[in-house]
Amino acid sequence: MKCDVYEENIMEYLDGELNAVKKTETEQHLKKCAHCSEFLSAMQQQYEMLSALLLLSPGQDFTQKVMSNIGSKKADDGTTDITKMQIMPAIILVAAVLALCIPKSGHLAGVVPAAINFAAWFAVMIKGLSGIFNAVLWMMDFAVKMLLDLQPSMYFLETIPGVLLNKYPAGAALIAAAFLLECFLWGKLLSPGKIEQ
Amino acid sequence: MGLRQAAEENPTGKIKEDEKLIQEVLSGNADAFAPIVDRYKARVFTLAYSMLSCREEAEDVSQEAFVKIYKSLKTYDAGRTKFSTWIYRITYNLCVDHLRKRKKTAPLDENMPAASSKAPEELIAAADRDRLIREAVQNLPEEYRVPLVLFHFQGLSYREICVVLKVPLSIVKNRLFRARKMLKEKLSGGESGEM
Ligand SMILES: [Zn+2]
Repeated sequence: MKCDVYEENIMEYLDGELNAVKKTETEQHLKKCAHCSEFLSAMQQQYEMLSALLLLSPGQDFTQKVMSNIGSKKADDGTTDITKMQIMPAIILVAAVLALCIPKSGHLAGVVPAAINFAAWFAVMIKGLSGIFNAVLWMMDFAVKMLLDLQPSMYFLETIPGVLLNKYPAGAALIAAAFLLECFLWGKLLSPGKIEQ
Repeated sequence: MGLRQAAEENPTGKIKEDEKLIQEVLSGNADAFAPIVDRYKARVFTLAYSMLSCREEAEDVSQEAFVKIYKSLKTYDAGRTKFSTWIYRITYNLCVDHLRKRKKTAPLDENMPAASSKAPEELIAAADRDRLIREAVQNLPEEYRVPLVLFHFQGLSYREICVVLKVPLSIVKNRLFRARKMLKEKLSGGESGEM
């Protein structure tokens, strides 16, 4: 039936999506068709009723709940995504390669700074669900350091991307503090001969 | 003629504000996400409720939606999609997943109307006519109900609805058209043939 097309046009017209040509056509048709005129006014009524309806509101504490939900998953945010999963091992690899250029000695001397570093990172990460994942990564990191005996400058390599990835002001401060402490301890614990080498 | 005015609740100023908040969240200030939630929660919840017909489930899925929005905020591309459209798309997808799971666990009629005992306070407080329309909308089959809700409640254009539902324009037009006709039938049927 011809009027079907006009009914569709009427709806698009009310939706503000009808083009000018069809609009003129439809207006012409409305003048001589009682059925479509009726359809138009019924639709207008329906539109008015629908637009008078208000949006529904969720519970009072909705926003608070969202905020606590994202709080608990905050560390998870960066960790589960591919970027971090790829970046962290990459950093360890780069650090390991660089470490190969550095003379090795006094393996035990690395324990304290590496443990502090590990603890600092773990404290930041454990907030999220991915604590275990990170723990594994940092165990690897720890092992690499033990084996290759990294110097303090190497820690800096992972500190910067680490801070950027976590976006935690508090975590950043913690890591910075751990870094300074590490430098200090490395200086104390390592034989002076090695540092100067 | 009741032509649709700029039903868009998001004039340029608000979009700018959204962008500023998004940038803040991305630069590490998670608290900046709260105003985003406040701004969109009613629209997200209304969409979820219209799809799930259950207040508790709609609330849970809305929570999930905002967590997802937060987590994937860095993948949001302001140049390609409007923020609101992106949010509706995430909400819509979560609702679809939820309906799928619901079908598996308990085969409920997905088109069931809101149980009157569970009716949200808004419905009770609102005028009878409002309740009638809401129920009529809620009783439409899902594929017709969702575009209607997106258009009238969320103020989306045809094209934005295409993006949210991932269907072609012709389908959106057709479903809206059918939805209105069905609604017309329902509403005139319920009130002794008089509209
Ligand atoms: Zn006609």
